[in-house]
Amino acid sequence: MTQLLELVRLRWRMVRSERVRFGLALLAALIPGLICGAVIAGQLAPRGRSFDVTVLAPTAFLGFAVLSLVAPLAAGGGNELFPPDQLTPFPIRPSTEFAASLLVAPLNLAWMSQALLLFGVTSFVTGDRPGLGLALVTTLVYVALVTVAGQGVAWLIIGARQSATGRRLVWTLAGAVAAVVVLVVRTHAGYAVLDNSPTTPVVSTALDGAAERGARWLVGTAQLGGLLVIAYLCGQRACAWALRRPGDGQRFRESRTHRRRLPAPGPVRALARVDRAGVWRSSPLRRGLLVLTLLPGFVAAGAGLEWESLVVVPALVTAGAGLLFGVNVFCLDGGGATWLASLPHQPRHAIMAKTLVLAETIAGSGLIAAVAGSLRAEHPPTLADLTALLGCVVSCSAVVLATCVHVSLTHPRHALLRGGRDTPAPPAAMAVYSVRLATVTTLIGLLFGGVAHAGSASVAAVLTLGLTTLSVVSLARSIRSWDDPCERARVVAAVSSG
Amino acid sequence: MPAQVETRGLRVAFGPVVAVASLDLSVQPGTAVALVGRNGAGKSTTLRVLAGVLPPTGGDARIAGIDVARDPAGAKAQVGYCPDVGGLIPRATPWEHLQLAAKLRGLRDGWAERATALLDRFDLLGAADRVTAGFSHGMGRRLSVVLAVLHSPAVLLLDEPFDGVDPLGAQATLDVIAEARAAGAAVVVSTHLLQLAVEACDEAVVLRGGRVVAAAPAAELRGEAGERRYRSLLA
Repeated sequence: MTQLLELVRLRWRMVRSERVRFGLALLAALIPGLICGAVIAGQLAPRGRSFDVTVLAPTAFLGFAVLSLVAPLAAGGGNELFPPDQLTPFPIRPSTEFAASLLVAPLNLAWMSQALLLFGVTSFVTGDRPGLGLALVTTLVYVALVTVAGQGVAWLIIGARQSATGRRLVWTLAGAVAAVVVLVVRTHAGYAVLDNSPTTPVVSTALDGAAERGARWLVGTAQLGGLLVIAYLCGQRACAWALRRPGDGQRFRESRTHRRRLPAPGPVRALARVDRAGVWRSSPLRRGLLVLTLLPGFVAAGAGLEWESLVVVPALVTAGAGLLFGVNVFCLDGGGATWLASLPHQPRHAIMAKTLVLAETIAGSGLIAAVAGSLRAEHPPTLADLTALLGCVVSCSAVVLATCVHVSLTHPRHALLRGGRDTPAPPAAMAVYSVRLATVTTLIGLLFGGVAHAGSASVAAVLTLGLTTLSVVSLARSIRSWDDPCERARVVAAVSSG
Repeated sequence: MPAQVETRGLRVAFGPVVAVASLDLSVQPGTAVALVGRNGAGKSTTLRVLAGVLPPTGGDARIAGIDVARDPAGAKAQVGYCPDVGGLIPRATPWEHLQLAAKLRGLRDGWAERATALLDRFDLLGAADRVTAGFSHGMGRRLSVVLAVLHSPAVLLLDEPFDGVDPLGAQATLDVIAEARAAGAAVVVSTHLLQLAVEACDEAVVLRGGRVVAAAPAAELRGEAGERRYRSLLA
């Protein structure tokens, strides 16, 4: 605990800008406020579909458990307070690493929004019964339990993947899970599976609390609490084990040879080729792309969404793709930024290559998610559905691209993106960027969803044109700022230092 | 003969911090100058300006008569630069670095053969297709020197090229410096390893606080007596 407090203090002191400090303090203060808001919203919501929500509540709880496993797994064991290379001289205990990754777990928009949803659902299904507080305690313990357990399982998988046998085992396991999911979907057994969700007793315990059946609530919640303690202890051990592993995964990737290719035809394509390799040869980026691109699309396909709801899926995926490396795109060059800047080429070629690779990543992810999601959409699409979906992918990609290039220029940082847990910016900055990108893309997604619902293809086309034009103007302004040698020197110095 | 590298009153400031105060430097073709001095003396900053990576705050910096602030691309075409730290794209292979350098420098036929020969000379041929993130510090330094000399530049700027490099790698670096000088290039080497600087260069320029505090034939800094004199200049 002492180590954790010191690390948090150091991280806080490293935030130099008063404005950013104020923003972070506000964000921390907002979390209890948001939970209260979700609870109040659950109480005030019209009670017409109370039974449906109660039936669906275990599914929402199960969804949160899946998210709690996927999020730290996608982050290579959970986000970190400091990149490991900055802590090398310090004897940081694995238990501190584990606690630190738990501490920053809420700095994830998906985790936060889903947790708020659970509190809202609990409040809603409790209704005007007197034991709301007890029900919320159950939900709180459950949220803590699955977050800790997810983190522990993620560390276990990260540790297993450090050897060739472990990697084969994990892939086999992933394949088996995917096969089971496909089988469940194909045999239309989804509802039966969800009806038997292991989270049903959790919701029952919360309802026991709501109904003031004290003894039953106490037993159920105490069981969850006991599991939480066990999960925490096991998670610590899994983390220590994973960190102790020799890590031949990274060594294997970095020592293998890559096929030589013929020279690219022009300077932009030559630079883009190196950037593209930088993305695909980075394990956190490669894994992030796979998780981001495939998972939401296939979840949407599994759910068999309607077209107007499907529109939001690629919107969120484009935001996630931007967060992988787009918010600090120049960090792909690492220390090589200084050498690159000494080569005789038009400065615009460098930023155009980065923009091109970023655009490919963002639009490609959005498009794949859209296509995967539409495979099992409920009815054949109308022209308005298709225009809205495509328009949403194009508009969100353009907006995310413009925002990412702008942020990369205004807030460049040194980031290795080498280890599984590396991110392009510190956790608090990533949280801010994720809120910023997800808010904009969700709003755009909802806008296009509304247009699809209204059945107007021409409005979707006009909206796409307008949003894309605005983004292109912003992007052009960013690219122009790269012409300033002082700006370039500032970015190069920031990304190559460290 | 006009100087290949020339600075007049060169000044670089980062806000209130002055890294280079007023630097006058001149390097003739076929000669090598060692920039020596304590940490923070302004050596690396000077080389970054000459390489066109960092615009100067004031004064003049010319490479082969080309003003680096007015025509950075023209100046960069004349320069081969080995940066002080890193200097390599982490997930690109040495061959991809060389290919990119050849493309951006507009090198035609023959670059691949020269690149292969240089990699072999610096004992990097076996690692030519592995990403540089897995390289040791010394391997990274050696590759940075290879990248700097690939196009046989008119001006060779080497920042800490011997740092962490084994004796064979250091010898290979000394050899390419000698060859560059023989071909008429002006060479500027920044290093803390005085004896290697003395071996590689004709002249040593001692910097302190971003200014030249002494300049002497490199031979005068040879041996224990030279070391003592150097230490007295640093204080």
